[in-house]
Amino acid sequence: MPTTYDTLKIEFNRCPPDCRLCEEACAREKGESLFSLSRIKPVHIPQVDFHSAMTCVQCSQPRCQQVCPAGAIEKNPDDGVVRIDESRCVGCGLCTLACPYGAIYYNHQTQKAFKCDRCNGEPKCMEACPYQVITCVNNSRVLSYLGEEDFISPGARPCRGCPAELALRFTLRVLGKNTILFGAPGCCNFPMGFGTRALTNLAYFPCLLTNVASSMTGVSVYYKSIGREVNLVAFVGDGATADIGFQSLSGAAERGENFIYICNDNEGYMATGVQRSSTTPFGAQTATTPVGKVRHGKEQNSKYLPVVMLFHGVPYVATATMAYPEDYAQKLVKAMNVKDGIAYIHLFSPCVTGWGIDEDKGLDVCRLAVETNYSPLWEAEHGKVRLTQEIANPKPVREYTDLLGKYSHLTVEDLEQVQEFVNARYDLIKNLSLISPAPRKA
Amino acid sequence: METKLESTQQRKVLTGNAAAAYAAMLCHPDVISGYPITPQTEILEVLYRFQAEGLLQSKMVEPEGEHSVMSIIIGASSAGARTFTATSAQGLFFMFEPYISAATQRLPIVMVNVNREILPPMSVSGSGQDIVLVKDAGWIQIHVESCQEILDTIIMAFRLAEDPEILVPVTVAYDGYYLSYFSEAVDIPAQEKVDEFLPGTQRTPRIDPETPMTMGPFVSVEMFTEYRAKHMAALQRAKVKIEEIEGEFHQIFGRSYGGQIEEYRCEDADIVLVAMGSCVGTAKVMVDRKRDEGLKVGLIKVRMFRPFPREKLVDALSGRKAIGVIDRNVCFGWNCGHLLVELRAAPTNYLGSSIPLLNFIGGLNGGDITLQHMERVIDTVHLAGQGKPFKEVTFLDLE
Repeated sequence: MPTTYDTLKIEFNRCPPDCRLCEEACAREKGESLFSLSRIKPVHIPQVDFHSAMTCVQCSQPRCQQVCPAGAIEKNPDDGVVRIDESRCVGCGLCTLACPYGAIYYNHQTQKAFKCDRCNGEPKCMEACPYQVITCVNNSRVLSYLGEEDFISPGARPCRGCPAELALRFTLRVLGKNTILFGAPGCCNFPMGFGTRALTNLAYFPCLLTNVASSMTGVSVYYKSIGREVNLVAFVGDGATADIGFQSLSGAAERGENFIYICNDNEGYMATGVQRSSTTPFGAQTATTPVGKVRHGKEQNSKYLPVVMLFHGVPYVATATMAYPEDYAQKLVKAMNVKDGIAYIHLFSPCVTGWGIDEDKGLDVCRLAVETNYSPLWEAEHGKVRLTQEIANPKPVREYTDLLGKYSHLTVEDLEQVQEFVNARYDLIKNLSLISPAPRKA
Repeated sequence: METKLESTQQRKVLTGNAAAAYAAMLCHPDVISGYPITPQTEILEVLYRFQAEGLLQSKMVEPEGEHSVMSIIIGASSAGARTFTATSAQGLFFMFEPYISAATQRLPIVMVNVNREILPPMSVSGSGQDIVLVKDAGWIQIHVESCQEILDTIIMAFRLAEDPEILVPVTVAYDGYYLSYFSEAVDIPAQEKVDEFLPGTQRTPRIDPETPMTMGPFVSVEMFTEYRAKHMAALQRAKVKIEEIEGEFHQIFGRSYGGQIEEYRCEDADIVLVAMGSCVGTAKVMVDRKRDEGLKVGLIKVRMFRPFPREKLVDALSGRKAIGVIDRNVCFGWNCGHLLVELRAAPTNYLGSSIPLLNFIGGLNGGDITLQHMERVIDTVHLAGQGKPFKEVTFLDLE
């Protein structure tokens, strides 16, 4: 599994002209009298008004290491730092040529190569920079959750910019090969491919729209009876989950069947051409809730299914969205470890086509849905609700709705109603999170 | 009833439903699922009692409705399990969507349908109406006449469904009330004999992470048509296969039922009745009496309703003077019963239009098809055979 490490991040073009504070700090730290022996190099090109600095990014597959004939360069698996063993360095200089970042240097006096070692965790250049150009980041541990293999083939054919495709690839890389994927008619059914050309190399069970949870039950009870442990995961839409397939899901939840059920909620019937579902929100324009002289959009609020599942008493319920991949990955791992019932994950998943979103804005919509509390991220382990992303100062929902064509007709009064609904939904989750139910007996 | 199961053969007085439950237990299904509905419920109850006594090791799932029942059975069967379920009427219709999938997915499921009337008007009574409405779902459909035949046919049905040349699910159908709650002596075969006839082999799973495949993707017109043609060819093969399997069954257990159809005293018959299900017994009694009176009358029991035993029936019906078809159902739109529709479709080329084909509809909503009815049927068909004018369709309970 790939692992992530802290890395020095240098913002381009934010350095003042001719500043060399980082270089100075590095040379001092390394006991060098010459600035040129610093491990970080300011880059000032006044002709094009470019001012920045370069140093080693501690590559995951270091080119320098690959070309070193003496085996003197190694990437430390603990801290991720690429180090040169001076005792073994033969001074050939190949590494300085191989580095694509120009971040390995050559000391002509000692005839050894040298490079940044991130000061073993306390980078002095970063401390010395008064402009916060240099930061030490580990934005995400998300890669550590992902297996190498992508189980969906390239060229799969959802709409361009579809966050659901990203989510499905991501989900399967977390779950791994020992998985049976269950689908249902709709946008998420694309892995089945056409004819002999499946678009997934996993075992794929395309169910009816109505019977995802009950089909999974059949596989689950038989596998359990013969002692086979396999990830059974549904990745299906809101129609198969909240509407026509709800009975089978509700029944399986009550019986305590054991599998992962992910509802890719794109708030409507998108594959059939954007019709309303019970998760379509108030005001949204769809083909069956059109905007005209006397009606404008859906007249009812959406059914909030994660809470419905919570009150089935299933051992794990979570909401997630692809703008918060690490949050989602953690929830998937928890879901995989559930052995005493359904793990239900409700994925907020904008439809770029059906919602009227620019193709490159899908994840922005995901992020704003969370930042406005439209789609709060929470989980419930055996009924104990916890917000996994608290939003300190939620943005007005208008910032979210403004991105979406399906809301373009909303009046000020409509928007107030959407905001009220968002507030009420968030208050419900917040209040639930304050209750500590007694843990359910296993 | 007693739930004790001995390893040796035994004879017990069982209801049809209990006989079905015994048969299911003897076949060791890995997964059983069902939902209560009259008159099928007793099968489930007996199976749960077997399980409670430790006699039945199957995983049993009681979901929230028949749609989930069939879906669970499909899931388990796809994973390689031997599966069994049972239902009636509204339950059958509620599961119709996955019921079709079970067949077109070619899963070797065995199911019992305890035939019941459809509603409204309100009815929970026996009838042949529910099962004929699903005749074109791609399943094999076998109609039986007695409690013993229920037990034996279920055991044979597993062999038929799981045969690598067939791989089509089988519904064993019998009339509600007339057989479901009717008690008669039934020979319960010894477990080891059943094991010998029906080995508990692990079936090849369709869905397995170790041999990953997609079940039923989109396909081209040609692939789709080929798939349908192969399904239909398997159904054709089932006509021969059922007789081979019954031959083997007869060698081990000493009983057989004729395979696709049973011909009763047809050898020199001028007129022949055609019937399915529990009323066949009544018909046989009246055929015997009429034979005693010198009337050359015979009877054909249609066991296999799907695939329809066209060739066998053509052979058996050719050259008769008149044919009487008894239907415990109605075919809306054809203004007669379903069996008559099937017979009209099957042998017209061979029989010619000159043989009078008379249809008698009775026993709807739990009504009896009595000996008096049968006598009237035979007399009417006899007159038609002598060239007298006849009514094509007669409602036995309206005259």
